[in-house]
Amino acid sequence: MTPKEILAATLRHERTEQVAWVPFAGVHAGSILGYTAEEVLKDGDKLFQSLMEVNKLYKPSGQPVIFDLQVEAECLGCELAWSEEAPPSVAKHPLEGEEELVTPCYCTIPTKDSGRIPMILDVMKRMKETVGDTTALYGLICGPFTLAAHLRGNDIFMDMYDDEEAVEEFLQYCTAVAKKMAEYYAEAGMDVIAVVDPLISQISSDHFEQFMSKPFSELFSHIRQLGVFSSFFVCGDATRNIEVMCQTNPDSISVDENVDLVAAKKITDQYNVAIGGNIPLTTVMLHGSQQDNMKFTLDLLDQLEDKRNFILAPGCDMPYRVPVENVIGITQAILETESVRKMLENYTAQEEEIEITLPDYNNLKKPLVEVFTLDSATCAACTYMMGAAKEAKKTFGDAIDMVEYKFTIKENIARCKKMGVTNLPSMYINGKLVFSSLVPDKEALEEAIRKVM
Amino acid sequence: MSKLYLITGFLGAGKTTFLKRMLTLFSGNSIHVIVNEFGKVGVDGELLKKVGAEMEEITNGSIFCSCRLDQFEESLQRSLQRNPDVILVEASGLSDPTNIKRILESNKEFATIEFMGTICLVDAVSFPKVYETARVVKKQLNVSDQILLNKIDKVSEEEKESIKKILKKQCPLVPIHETVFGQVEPSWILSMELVEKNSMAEEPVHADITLRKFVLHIQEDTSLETLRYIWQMIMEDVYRMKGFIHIQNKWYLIDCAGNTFHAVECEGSNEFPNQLVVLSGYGLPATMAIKKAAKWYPEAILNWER
Repeated sequence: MTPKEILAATLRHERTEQVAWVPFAGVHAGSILGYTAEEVLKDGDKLFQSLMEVNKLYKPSGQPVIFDLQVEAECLGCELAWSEEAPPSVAKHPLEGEEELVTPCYCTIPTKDSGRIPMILDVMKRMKETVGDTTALYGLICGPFTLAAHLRGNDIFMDMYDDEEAVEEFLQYCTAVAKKMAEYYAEAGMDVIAVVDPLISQISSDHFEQFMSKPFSELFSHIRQLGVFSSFFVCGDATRNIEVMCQTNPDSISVDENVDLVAAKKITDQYNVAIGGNIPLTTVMLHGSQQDNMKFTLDLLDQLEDKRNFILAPGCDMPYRVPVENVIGITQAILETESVRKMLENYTAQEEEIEITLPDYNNLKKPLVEVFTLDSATCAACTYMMGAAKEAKKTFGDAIDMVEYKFTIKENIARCKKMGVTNLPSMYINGKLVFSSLVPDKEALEEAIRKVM
Repeated sequence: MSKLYLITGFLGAGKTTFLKRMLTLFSGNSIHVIVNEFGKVGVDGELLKKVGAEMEEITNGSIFCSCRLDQFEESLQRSLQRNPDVILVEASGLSDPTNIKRILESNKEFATIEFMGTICLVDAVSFPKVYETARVVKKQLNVSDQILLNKIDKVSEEEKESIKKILKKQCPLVPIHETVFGQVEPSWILSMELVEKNSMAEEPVHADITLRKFVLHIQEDTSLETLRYIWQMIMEDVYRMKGFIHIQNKWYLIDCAGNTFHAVECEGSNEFPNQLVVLSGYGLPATMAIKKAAKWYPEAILNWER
């Protein structure tokens, strides 16, 4: 099964040999190549290159093309405030402060030529052509309630109390926008349309049923008619809305760390809806070590009695500065679960001291390139790192020494500990860390080696 | 030490206007301001300069995200490098301030911060509405140490009293002050005291016929983690959950109120072991919340009764 087929089978609620893995790399994708959030969300070429890096390093079953809930709002006249390391925020809501909530004319619904949509559709098509056979592509649209709040501001919470009919009418309009966006994205080759509506966690399940059940049910039915899968993303403490969300009949939902995923899955299983989540964004992905990330993944997998209907994913859009090696660790834990389990066991087993003698780095006869990997045979990022080292070895021949240490072997774990290697893959030259996680290009590596010759 | 004040309140409650008052109040001190929202009327540079304050805006991406607290942490770290006398934090109107308090309590690097309290702005005009529609409003009230009932010139005496009734039910120990344009008496702020969140008000002397009591019977295998999740599921619709329980071979005294789950290990007790008493009151859909929790955690909640 290709990674894409694993995801499709999961969304069809079938059993799979492996768990589907969908890293939500939005602005983080840009960080891999050093692009700012603004660059990667505005410049199609930079976005495409960044997404290709994600695809190469994280071997995803599915990946979003753009993670920005402000695309539709921008088309509809919301002023955005841009940021270097986060998606933009809506700085001005065009309908805020007006006494009455008036639904805009349907003629204002964004077309394929509005705002950033042409750029997005183009990148979607390029991704489809390049990796579409093996990776399921996610088209993310702004959910009707969040779009309503973008356009109307906080007044929407007052309207829900004052003028229920006006809110229903307005949400119909926002749903119509979502339906159109779903059409554009499905046509551009997206396999899954994810309706992202973080604000859902801010309302009670009663209000959900009163205002949201109908529009969301219609939206998911529409997406089904387009012949693609659907997902319902929330964030925040959406616990009490999980059940009403399932009742709108999406193929899957996705939750963050505020939800007890193990308990939630028992509920979603009753509705036969797949559930995705919920690697903690800050404590684990951003601030945790590579081992923390692998351990979190294994623990989560172990806690789930039934892995059918489960997709491993971050709680939400990954923070910009998530270290690449942390995501590589998660990838490896999903793809090579048992080997990672062994690694972690060996890593924590302290009693068995293995004596390691490190080379005398100050008195080497020739440059020594040491590549520390999770396992270059199975971990994509490690394969590339090892590939670069092998290339260099070809260039320099006997003038340098090169060696790989796989973390799957106990002695190598002891070596990593002794040398203080924490992130894999990484490359050391003469005992000094030179490249970590990101694979150096040929010139950069050769230059680094020449420096010590 | 830097004194930190946290300002909360739903969108449009008047936080930014109040923040300006606070700036003037602390004029003469070095002040650092952290704002987690785009206000319609921002704090202008002129005023900041006049009182010698520095300001930092956190642009929180999609603004709703409650998991991205790293940005707040970083901003606070930067602020501490300057060692200001006063730090004023204006939390985003949609954010659950419980998380901010948790960060302050759990991080050693924030040990030089003296937490002075949370001031919650309540817009008298919109409160009855957003209290019904936006869940975060209750969470903001639950962590507050002082409530400023703002914009009282825009409502009738009757309306004001009915709001105060709701507020007193929701957080009986928190002092409520009435304001217009966020104008406060300096003494309200300067002599503010922290409200102990785990000790609820004594039971009322008069019978309160709206008080509802439930008993949850807890299974012995249940983990504390699961109990915390159960509390999270019901906390918005109840006042308190309390009892002695013996789970996973340990005794705990559970006492939760507001947004806080509180459990301490204790000596064994024979008094109704593994029964948690839950109190709720008028206008709160507690039965539904408890039913839902029992459905989510059938292994933990053996049964429940009224």
